[in-house]
Order: sequence, then C-alpha cells, then structure tokens
Amino acid sequence: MITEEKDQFYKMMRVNKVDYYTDPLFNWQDIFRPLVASIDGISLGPLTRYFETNTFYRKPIVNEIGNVKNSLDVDGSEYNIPGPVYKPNEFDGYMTFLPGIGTFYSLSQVNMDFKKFQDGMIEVYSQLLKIMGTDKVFFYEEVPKDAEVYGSFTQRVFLRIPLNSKNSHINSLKVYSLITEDPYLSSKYSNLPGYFALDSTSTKLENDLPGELKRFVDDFPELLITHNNYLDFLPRKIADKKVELLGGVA
Amino acid sequence: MNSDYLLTQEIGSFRKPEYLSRKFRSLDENELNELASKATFETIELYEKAGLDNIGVGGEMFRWEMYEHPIRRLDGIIVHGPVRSFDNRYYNKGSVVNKLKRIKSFHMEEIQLLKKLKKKNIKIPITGPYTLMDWSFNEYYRDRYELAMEFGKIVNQEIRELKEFWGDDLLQIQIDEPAATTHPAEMTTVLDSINESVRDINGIEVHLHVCYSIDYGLLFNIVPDLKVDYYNLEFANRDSLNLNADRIGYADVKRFKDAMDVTSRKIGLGLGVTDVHIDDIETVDLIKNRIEYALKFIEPDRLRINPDCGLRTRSREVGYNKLKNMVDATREVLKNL
Repeated sequence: MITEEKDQFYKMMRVNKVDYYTDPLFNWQDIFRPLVASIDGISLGPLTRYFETNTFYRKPIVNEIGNVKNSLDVDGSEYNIPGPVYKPNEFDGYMTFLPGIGTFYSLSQVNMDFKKFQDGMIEVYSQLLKIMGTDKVFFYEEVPKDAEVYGSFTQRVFLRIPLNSKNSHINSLKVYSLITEDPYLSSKYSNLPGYFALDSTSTKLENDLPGELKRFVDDFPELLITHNNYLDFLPRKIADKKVELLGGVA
Repeated sequence: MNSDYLLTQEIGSFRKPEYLSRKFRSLDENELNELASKATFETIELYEKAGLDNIGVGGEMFRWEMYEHPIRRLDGIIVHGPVRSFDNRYYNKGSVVNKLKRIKSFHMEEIQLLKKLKKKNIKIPITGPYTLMDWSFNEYYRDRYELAMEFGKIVNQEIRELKEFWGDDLLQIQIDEPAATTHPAEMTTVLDSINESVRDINGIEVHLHVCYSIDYGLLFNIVPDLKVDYYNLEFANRDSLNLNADRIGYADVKRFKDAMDVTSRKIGLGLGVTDVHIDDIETVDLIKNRIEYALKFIEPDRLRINPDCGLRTRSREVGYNKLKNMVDATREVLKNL
C-alpha cells in the first residue's frame, strides 16, 4: 500500500510539473527512525515532542556511529513500519532526503562531541548516498550548527534552513541550492536560490502566488519555490492543493 | 493511615472494544449512545477489578479522540482532514474560520451515565483551551491569545453545565493540556486561558494533565498563579525500565516540590508511573520504586498515582495489566507508610 501511495505521489509531482522532490516518507514514523534502524550504534529513545509542534519522535540515542546497513530495509520492530527506507523515483528531479546533521545532533541524546558526531554522520551519509546512487540530496536542516559542511558532499546539494535559526554559520557556504525565507540571501550562497513561498502551517491557500512572486522576476533568472516545512502538518487535501499551486506558478 | 494517601486514578482514555471502535464513525446518535454506554460499563468493571480509586469517565468511550470530540460540537470550525501527531497516528485538525460557538455539550452523556450508575469517584477529562487553540489552524481570530481565550470561555460554559448537572458533591475536572509547554513564549496564554476555563465555578477540584513536555519548568513557573489543585504529569516515558537505575525520569518531582513550596494554594501531584506508549508491563517493584522516590519530596496526601497519559494506544489487556500493577505497587507502598 505504501509503495502504491508513493507511486501516486510521484505521479502527482509529474502531473503538476514539480521539478524537484524527495521520497514522500509515508513509512517514516519520524524523520530519524528509519535511519536510526539503518545505522549501527544508534538506538531509539523516548517519545519526545518535535520542536514546538504537536508531533513527536523517538529520540535517537547515539553512542557511536557505525556503518550503514546495505539493504536499507527496516524490519518490522515495534517502532518501525517495515520496508525500504526510500523508494527512489527514476525521474531526474528525485532527491534523497536526509535530516540535517545539526538537527540530528540537537534532537538526539549524543554521547560524543559535535565534531566527532559530524564527522561520523558525513561518513554514514556518504555511504548511504552511494548505496542510493542518486546525484541529488536534500538536507532538511532546522538547527544548522555548521552548515558549511554541506559543501563537502559530491552530490548536488539542496539545503533547507530557516535563517532565523541561531548558530547558522554560512559565511563561506556553497551549495547548489540554498532554500530559505530570503531568496536574495540564498542567491549569495547557491546557484539556484530557493524561497519558502508556501506556508505549510496554515490551511489558507496562497491563491495569488504568481502575483506574489512577480516581485522577484527581474532579480532572479531562476528561483526554486517551495513550502517552508513538511506538508505532513497539513491535511492531505490542503497539501495537494498547495502542490497544485506550486505547479501553477511554473 | 489517611484514606487520602496515594489515591490511584487513570488519566482518561482507554482502548475501545472492537465492537465500538470499528463502527464508531458510522453509528447514529442512539446507536453510539448504546454501544458507548456498554463499553463504559465494561471499562469501569476493568478499572474496579484492577482496584482503581478513581474511575474517571470509564475510558472516554463516547469520544473518538480528545480534540475532534469537542470541535465537532462547535460552530465556526471546519475540518479538512487528518494530520499526523506521532508514529502513524493522525487526528482531524480543524481550521477556525468564524466566531466559535458551542452548539452542544461535549460530555453531558458521560456524566449522565455515571450519575445514573451512582458513581461518585469520577474525574472528567476536558480538553483544555490552550491545546484546542494550538491544535487548530487559526484563520479568524486576531492572534493565538484571542483564540485561546475564546476556547477558555467555551470550556468554562462546559464545566459550568456539567457541575450544575452533578449537583452539590465535589466534581473532579481534569483539564487536558498536552500542548501547554509547547511554545515557551506563550505561557501567559496558557495561564490566562486555563484560569478562564474555571473562572467563578465553585465546587470543583481542578486537575491539569500535561505530558511529553520539553520542559516542565515552564509549567512550574506559572503554578502559583494557576487555579489548579492537582497536576497529573508524565514521568515514566522518560525513565529507565531498570529497577536499579537512578530514577532519572522523575528528576522533575523535586522541581514540582519547589513550586509547591511557593504556592499558597494546596496543590498536589499525579505521578505518571507507567509508560502508555510501550507494551512492557512495568513490574510492581519498579512502580513501587518510582512512588517511593516521589515520596521523598511529596507528602502522601498530596500524591496521586496514575499512568503517564491515557492508555488508548495499548490493548485492553496491556492497559489492564499496567493499571493492576500500578494499584498493587501503590498498596504495597501504603503498607509501609
């Protein structure tokens, strides 16, 4: 059923002419859980509130960072939906989704310093991307601690960070696409500036999105527009309409 | 020994029997009333068999879940569909699009049934105004404070009506505010909206249930100004299942004691001793250890014993076994007081 739903999702992306998208993560019970199950040395901790939301996640307990398990299949333990972590799509816009390293660190119980954690995660993320064989990666970073590290990945990096986050060190950051609430700032650090054009925390529809975006037309030959957070926080009916709005702009 | 020592209570929800849960959304009002009443009887029987001192409302059998139940009884809010809360569980999140108005009591059927059964040892959970606000999309009110206060007025109407029906006996009301400490900058909104919910209502004992808080300290800071008598909190989820471990999950009991000491109102703590999100049945010894730890800080007449939260995510068998061990452990602790 999850595979069918994912295929439907990819179809919706194509129908709406969305250029870039990740796996919809329907079988991810939170943004860490399948990865925790796939990386040696990390286990699941208590149910914990996810930032200032009404969603919860199992806090990763990081004692060491081992290797990525080759199969990237999650078994059906109590805390996980069984099945593959990702179902890649063969079309060109597919990006592998990964939680940002700063976010992973901040929301986990990590029994090592940040530098060691970061080095370990770069290694396992590199292994994982090799297994996946995709050339694009999307990092979801809510708490950027050392964002410049994303410049070290060989894949085409799409980095989503909120600029109002504290400790966002981006002085010499260079990635393919930086997605923030300020496209002018994003353009300083990336080839394809990204902009949070849709609010994923409101059921209000941005019906005048093309009009709203006209102010950027002269300044940006290319602008990646997207939503400011997961669409998981919206009822599916509204989320689908927001995807249609994205496609409508193109 | 004082009969008010270490009273055991549940927190609200309990897994519905399949004959109710499978049909819940397709039943008409009379059918729902009949099946929910039957399920309530059966759940009260289970609670009494486990030995609970307070039976709540018999597991919230009339409610699909804590948010949707009240908002479906309001004008001014529409539901577009479900959103995720945790794991693979979803709830129907409403959008407030007009001035809110209560068009039907939220919990009158439950209290009518309990009164008919001559049950006195009850506690009625009511979803709190701050949580109703936080879990809704606001497309009408000026800001979140204004919406929370509007929900506060509505909850006040509800409690007032339930109390009028209940009569002169003391009525325990539990305001459920799982969202209470979600946004640290909004604690004034939490305080004002909860106080609005119970404003000028006499003859009630007010409980506040908060769980999965990032920092209970935010709540403890407003305790002196809250019109709340008991704080029923989650602890077991953050504790070890190892009997011999430090009771790390209960570190906040000491902080609660500090808040008690600066509060003129006589307040107490409902201690969460079983984790409602795992199937492991905490042993009697482990629960005893948790209670004894809390007793280092809180006097036994101000300490009540409960699960972390509602047990609806566990099977009825697991839920019963958790409650039974909780009661047995409490009784063993009582022997030594």
